[in-house]
Amino acid sequence: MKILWTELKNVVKDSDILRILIIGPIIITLIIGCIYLNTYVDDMPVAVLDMDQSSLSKNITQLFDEDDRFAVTQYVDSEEKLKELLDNGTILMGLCIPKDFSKDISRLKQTNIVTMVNGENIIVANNCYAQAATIINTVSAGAQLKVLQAEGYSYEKAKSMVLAFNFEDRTLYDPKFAYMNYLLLAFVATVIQQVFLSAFGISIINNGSELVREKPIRHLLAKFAVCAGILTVTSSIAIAISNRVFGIAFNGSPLNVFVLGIIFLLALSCPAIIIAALAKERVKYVQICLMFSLPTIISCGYIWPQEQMPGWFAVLVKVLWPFINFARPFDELIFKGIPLSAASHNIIQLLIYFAVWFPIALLLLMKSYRKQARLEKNQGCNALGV
Amino acid sequence: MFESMLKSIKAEWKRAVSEKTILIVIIIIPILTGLFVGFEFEKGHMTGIPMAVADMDNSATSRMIVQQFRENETFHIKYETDDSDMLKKLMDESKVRVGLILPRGFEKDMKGSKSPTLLMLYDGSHISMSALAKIKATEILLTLRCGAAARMIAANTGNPYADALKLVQLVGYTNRTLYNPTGSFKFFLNPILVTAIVQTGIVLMASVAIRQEELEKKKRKKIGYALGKFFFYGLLGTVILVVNITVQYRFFGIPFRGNYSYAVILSVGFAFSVTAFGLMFSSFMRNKLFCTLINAVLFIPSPLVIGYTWPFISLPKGYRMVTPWLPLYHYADNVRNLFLNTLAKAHFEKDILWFLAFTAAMLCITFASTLITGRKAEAAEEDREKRTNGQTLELEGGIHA
Repeated sequence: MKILWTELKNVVKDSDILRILIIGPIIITLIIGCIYLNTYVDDMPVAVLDMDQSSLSKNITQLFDEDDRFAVTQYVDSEEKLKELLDNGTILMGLCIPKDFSKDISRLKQTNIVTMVNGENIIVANNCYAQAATIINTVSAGAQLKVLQAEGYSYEKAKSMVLAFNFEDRTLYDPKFAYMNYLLLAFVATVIQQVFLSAFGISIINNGSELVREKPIRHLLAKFAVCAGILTVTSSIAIAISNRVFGIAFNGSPLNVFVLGIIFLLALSCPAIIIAALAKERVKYVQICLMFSLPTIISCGYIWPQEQMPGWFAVLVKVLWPFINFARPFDELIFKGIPLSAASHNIIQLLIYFAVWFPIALLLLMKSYRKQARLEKNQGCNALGV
Repeated sequence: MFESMLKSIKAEWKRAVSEKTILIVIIIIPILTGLFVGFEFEKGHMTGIPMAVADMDNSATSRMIVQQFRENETFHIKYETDDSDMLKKLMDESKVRVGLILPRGFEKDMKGSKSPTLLMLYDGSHISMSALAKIKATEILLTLRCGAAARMIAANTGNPYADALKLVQLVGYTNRTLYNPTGSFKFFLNPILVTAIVQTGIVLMASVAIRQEELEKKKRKKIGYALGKFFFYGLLGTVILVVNITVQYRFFGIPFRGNYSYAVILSVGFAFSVTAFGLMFSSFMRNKLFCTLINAVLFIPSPLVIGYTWPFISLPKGYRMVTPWLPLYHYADNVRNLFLNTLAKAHFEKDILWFLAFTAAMLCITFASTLITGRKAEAAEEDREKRTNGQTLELEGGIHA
């Protein structure tokens, strides 16, 4: 208890640690949440090359313009011009309606609508393609219905032929594929990681030599308890902001999130101790830790799922860093409300990570600071001429 | 000034070799990250998305539909059940990301012209997987429906199947995705990820590079000192940017369709702009840790706000006003264009001019700040010396008395 109280005083006295623990999660959540305030990619600029100029082709153009996802911004008269606008990024999609489009349909001659999408940004390209396909399929079905009705079939009969079967889509948990829902919790998880790494490591560096002198494990546990305790409060505020301000659903149990979070922080304390033992200076330590933010978020299975990575790569990531076992389950515990048992394999892997790496981290810390203490002692002796 | 600049470069190099942090942050971690993303996104496309099927009809038609999904490399049917609740449970526990429910009597209803409905379920919490699954599943189902519709029209009208198929395909649709036709994640993400990590490395080191205690008294020497840091980190950053671009292009198969010299020139402009920004902070902020954290908050999330992944048009107005002032905004799109498209000369020139103006402005602030804070530090030092001398004299006077 005494050690815990001492460590609490140490942390409170260090304004840098306090700033990181208190301000970090809240500010970053607000900065990143605001990026996705416009939840969907709407009004994507489209240019139209209408070589038919019939009422049907104009109707199709109007369907695109009236769709929330698209905004027809230009009309061009050649494919080259369309390509040029796509090349220089003025438009994101080009719509080409061929010559005699309307006549061909009435003559029952096959015709083809072409869309050209700038594929450099996959998000935009997928959105354009999916929405354009929906509009054109509706047009196509309408044309088939008219032809069959003209042949004397009733609307119902024609419809049952054209739509031999229907398919319905139901997107669970996030029906509109909102990027806010998808990404914000990933960044909250990353901030939790970075804030803990920085605060816990700095607190070790602040009194590393004293720490290794007596009861190092108790000192480390006390530091962990203080940093994790404050972070639990501030990251709860960050999660509350995601929920209240940015509308991310909280469908799970806070206790489950807490359990996973604490086990993750326990595992994360191992690389923190190792880097602190090697860096031994506050600024250097923070610089190195910050450099890990990007590689860890890329490899945590969020953007690119774990099962899509090469097998050896996923194993390597799991052996080296615990974040891969935290980011996705953290999100799913909150957003989907999965039971803790569904994340049990992640918890087991985190515990194994801790069991393997903690002795190594402790050994490195002891060795590093004892060496430093010896060096300081020698320097002191030399200065005194002993 | 030139001498102090060289001296400053040498000193920084010595520090890099002896302390290792500079090498770790600017060279080792960015290069390893380049290899890391190269291996991680090696495949480029998602395949084998876990799927569950609830075929409650178990007819020839329903089995044929399931077979189409089984043969498509995008999907991997992991579970087959005849219970839709079980399928929902598998989705809830994240064991599958896609579900297909074929209702009882599906085939019978189709033959009876009742247009039965099958249900596709997607896990919306994992957009990157579900969006692709939705596109691929829709393609499969539309193709199947097309064939089924043609067969039904042929049977009902007595026309040949080929004619019925023509009617079904009366309005065809072709989508041409330019520059990244296969929708490869590798082509899309690797250029920005390798750039972002180098940017972070440069700014974190440059933001603590100017050390007040190392500043010499003469004005020119102070400027030479700051210039030394500028060239050291700017050049180092440029080399790592170019190395990372080359690695992605040579070893991980990302096409490079643009002009290589443009990439080098843009990298010079970008690396020096970021360095100048970091140095500007370093010149007036005493608390190095706080300075590092501020720069991290400004630069680490920057790939998200420049319109590279989340389109610029969808950003809130405030971000759209601020982000054009970030160097990455003027670099990322150009580099992606160099990889996947061809970069227009006008764009390139405009951004190079921006880099020049931004760097010049940042350097002017850095020089002014270095001179002012240097002078303050000297004044404080002189004051301290005077007070120490005064105290010594008083002490000596006391002793003599």
